[in-house]
Amino acid sequence: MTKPDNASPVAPSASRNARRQSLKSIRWKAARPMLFAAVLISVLYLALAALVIAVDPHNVYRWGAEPRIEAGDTPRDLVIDWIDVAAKDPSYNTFLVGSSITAMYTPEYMREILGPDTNAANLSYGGPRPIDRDLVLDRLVDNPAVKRVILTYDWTYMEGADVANRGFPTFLYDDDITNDLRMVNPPTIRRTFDILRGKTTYSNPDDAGYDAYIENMYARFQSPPELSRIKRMVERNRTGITQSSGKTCDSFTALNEQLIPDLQKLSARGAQVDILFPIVSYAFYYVRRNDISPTLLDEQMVARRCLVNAVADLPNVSIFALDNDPTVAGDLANYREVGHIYNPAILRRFMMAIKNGSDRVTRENIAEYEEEIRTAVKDYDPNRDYTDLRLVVPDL
Amino acid sequence: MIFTDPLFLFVFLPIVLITFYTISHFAGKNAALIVLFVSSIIFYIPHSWFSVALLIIALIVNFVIALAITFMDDEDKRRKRLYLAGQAYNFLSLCYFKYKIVSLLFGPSGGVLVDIAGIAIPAGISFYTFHQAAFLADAYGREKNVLQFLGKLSSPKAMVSAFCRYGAFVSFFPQLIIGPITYLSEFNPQIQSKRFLRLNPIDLAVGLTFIAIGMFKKVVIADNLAPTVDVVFSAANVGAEIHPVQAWIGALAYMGQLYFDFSGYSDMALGLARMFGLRYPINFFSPFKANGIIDYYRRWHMTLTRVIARFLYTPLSVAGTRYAMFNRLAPIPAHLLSLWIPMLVNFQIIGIWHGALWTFVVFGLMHGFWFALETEVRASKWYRNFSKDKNRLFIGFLERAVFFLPLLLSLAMFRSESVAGGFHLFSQMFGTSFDAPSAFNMRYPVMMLGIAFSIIYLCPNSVELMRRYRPAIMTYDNKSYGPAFLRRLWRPGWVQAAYMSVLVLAALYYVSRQPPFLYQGF
Repeated sequence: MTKPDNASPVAPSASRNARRQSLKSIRWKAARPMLFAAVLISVLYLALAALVIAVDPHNVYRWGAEPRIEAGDTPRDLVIDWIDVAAKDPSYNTFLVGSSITAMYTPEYMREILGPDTNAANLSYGGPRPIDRDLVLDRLVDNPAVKRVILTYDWTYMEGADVANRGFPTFLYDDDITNDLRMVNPPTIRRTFDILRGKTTYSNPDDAGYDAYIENMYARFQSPPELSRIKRMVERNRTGITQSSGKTCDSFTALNEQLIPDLQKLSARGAQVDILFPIVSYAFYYVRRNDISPTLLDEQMVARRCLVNAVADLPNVSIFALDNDPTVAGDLANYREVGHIYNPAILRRFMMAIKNGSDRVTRENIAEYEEEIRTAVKDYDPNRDYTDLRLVVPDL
Repeated sequence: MIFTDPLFLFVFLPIVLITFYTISHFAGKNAALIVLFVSSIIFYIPHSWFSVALLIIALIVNFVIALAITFMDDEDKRRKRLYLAGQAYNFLSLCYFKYKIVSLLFGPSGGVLVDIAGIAIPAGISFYTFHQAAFLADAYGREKNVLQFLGKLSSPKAMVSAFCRYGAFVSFFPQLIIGPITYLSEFNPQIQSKRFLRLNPIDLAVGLTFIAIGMFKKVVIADNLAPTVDVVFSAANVGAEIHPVQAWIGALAYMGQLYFDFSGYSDMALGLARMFGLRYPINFFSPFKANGIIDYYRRWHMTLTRVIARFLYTPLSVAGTRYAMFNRLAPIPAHLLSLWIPMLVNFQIIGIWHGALWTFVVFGLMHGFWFALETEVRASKWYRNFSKDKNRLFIGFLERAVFFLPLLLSLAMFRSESVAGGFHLFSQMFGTSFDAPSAFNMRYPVMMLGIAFSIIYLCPNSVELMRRYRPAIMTYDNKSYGPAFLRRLWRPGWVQAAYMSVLVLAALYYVSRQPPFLYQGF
C-alpha cells in the first residue's frame, strides 16, 4: 500500500510561490542600479531646482537674493539670463536694448557722453528677434525707474511677431511658472552657489575675450581677399537692388503689435526713448539681400518710414540715423562686418547725436532721408576711395 | 508638456507612476486606467484648453458611435450610416482644425472656411484621430477585442468606466502627441493580462533606459543640429547664394535632425509606456539603414504607414484590381490602376498628413513615384538576375548608395519653407557658388554630423539594444543591419546605469535651450 500523496496539491503551489519570490528578488536586484541612478538624478535635480528657485539668481521672482550687476559691467551675450537683474534694479535709469551692433557700448562710455546722471545698463545681445526683444521691453515698461531707453531698430523687426531667438530663455520671462525648472543648468547653479557664498553681484568675465574677438573680426574683414569677395558680391547682387517689396506698414507685425505699443507706454510715462537706425554699410544691402530678403533695401526703407510716422506724435520719442552720410556707411574701412560698425569715432558720434539731438529723422525729413539712402545704395561703388572726405565727429 | 521638459520628467512622471501603481494595488484595473486617462488629460492641458475640449469631444463621439455599432445588428442599415458618420466626424474635424487646406493652399479666400486660419492646430490631432478611426473600423468589423474591451455596460458606472478605459487607450500620454498609432488588438490583450498592474522593476529599468537614450538623441543631437538647419534653409528660402559645402551640410544636418528628433521621441514613448507595464508598437527602426524606399517605409513612422495602407492603399488597390479584372483592361492600364495610382494617392496623403504645404505635396509625389518605380524594378526579371549573380555585400552597398541621394533631396524638400526654396537649395548643392559668404562656422556642425551619422550607421537601434526584454510590439518584421559585432545586448547593471546617467546629464545640460519635437507640429 502506498502512502497517499497529500503534499501533491500543495507542493507545486508552494514551489511556484518560492520561484515567484526568487524571480522577484532577482528582478529587483537587476534593476537596482538603474533605479538608483534615476532616483539619484531626480532627487539631485529637484534639490538643485528648489535651491535655484529659492535663491533666484536671475531675479525673476519676488523673493530671493536680488543680485545686482557690478557697476560698469557690460554683460553682452550673457545678458539673456540677466535681463531681470538689470531691469529690476532701481539704480539704473538708462537702458540700451540692442544687438551685437551695440554690444560694445559700456556703461561708463554712455555716462561719459550722456551725462553724470546716467546710470546705464546695456541689454544688447546677439541675434535678438521680435518675441524676445518684446519681453525685454516689457520689463522696462514695467520698471518705474526707467528714464531713458535707447534701442536699435534693425532688420529683425521685418520678421513676424512670433519669431524668437532660439537661444533666448523665454521660459524665464514668460508668465508660465511650470517651465521655470528649465533654468537649472550649470551656469545658473554656479551663480546660485556664488550668491550663497556671498557674491551677490554679477560680473561678466569676457571683456578681454570680447575685445580680442572684435579686433580679430575687424582684421579678417579688412583683409584684401575678404574685401574683394564683398566687392564681387556687391556687383553680383546689383541687379534688382532697388526692387520694390510691395510691403506696407501692415506687413510689419512686430512693429505694429509689439514695438509701437511699448513705445506708447514708455512715452506716456515720460521716459525718453531714443531709437537708432543701425549704421549698416551700403554693402550690407547687397550682401545680406542674399540671405535676409531679395528686397531688403525697400523693406528696410518702408519699415523705417512706418516707424517714423507711427511715433511722430509721441512725445519723448526720437529717431536717429547716421547712415545717410557716405563717409560713414559707404566706407568699408569703418566696419568689422558689412552690418557691424567698428570705427570708435562713429560709435561716439552716435551717442553724441542722442545727446545733442542731431541727426534726427522725423516725419518732415523721412522722405529726404529715404531718398538719400536709396540713391546711395543704388549708386554704391565699393571701390570708391573715401580718404578725401572727412568723417565728422562732434566734440563733447 | 513635452517629454524632455524637466517638469514632466521629475515631477509629473514620478507622481503619475506612484499614483498608478498605488491605485492599481488598492482599487484595481479600472481605477488604474482612470489614473492614466486623467493624467493624460493633465499632460495635455498645457497645449491649450481648446485642444483638451476638442480631444474630449472626439473621445465622446467615437466612444458613443463605437458602442452603438458594436451593439447593433449587422442587418440594421443605420449601423453602416453611423459608422460612416463617425469616420466623417474624425476626418472632417482633422481637415478643419489641422489642414486648413482652403486657406493655406489657396490663400485666405475660402469663404466660410477662412475663420479656421485663426485657430491654432491642436497638438496631436492627427494621431488621436487616426487612432480613433482605426478603433471605429475595428468596432465596425467586430474585432473580438472591442467587445472584451468595452465589457458589460449594465450600469452608468460601468459605462463611465468603459469610457475611461477608452480614454486611456486613445489619450495615454506617451503616444498622445506623436504616436505610435496603436490598434486595440495591441493594447487590449495587455490590459487584460494578469501581469498588467504588477510592478515589475525590469519594466522600470527598461523604460528608464529608453527615456535616457531618447532624451540624448533629441536634446543633445537633434537640437544641436537644428541651428545649422535653420540657417541654411532660411537662406535657401530667400534665394541666397550658399556655398555648396554648406548647402550639403545643411541638408545632411536636417536629415540627422529629423532622424534623431523622431527616433528620440519614439524611444521615449516606448520607455514611458513600458514603465506602466505596456508595450507599444515600434514606430522607428533604423530607417536610414534601409536598402530602398520600400524598406524605408517599413522602418520610418511604421504605425502611420500601416494605418494609411489599411485605410487607403489596400482598398484602392483592391478596387483598382477588381475594376481592371471586370473590365478586362490591358496589362499596363490594369497595373496603373492596381499599383501606381493607389501608390501615388497613398504617398500624397502621407505627404499632406504632415500639413497643408506645397512642399509636402512635392515630397509625397517624389516618394510616391520613387516607391512605385522601386516596386517595378525589384519585381523585374532584370533586377532579379542582376542581384542573383552579385555579392550580397556589394548589392547592399549599391542599394544604399542609390537610396541615399533621393532620400536626402526629398527630405530637404520636406523641410524647405517653400517649393522654390527647396529647388533653390538643390541648385546650391550642385552649384558652384564657392564665392558665397559663409553662413555659419563649420567646425561644430561637421563634428555633430560626424557623431550623428556614425550613430545612425554603426550603432544598433534602441530596440535592438534592448531586444532581450522584448521592448515593443514588432510592427513589421525588419532585418537588423549594421555591424553585428556592435549589436550588443543591454542588461541592467551598474555600468549601464552609469552610461544612462551620462546620457541624461548631457541632455539636462542642453535642456534649458531646447525647442519642441519636430513631429509635434504634424
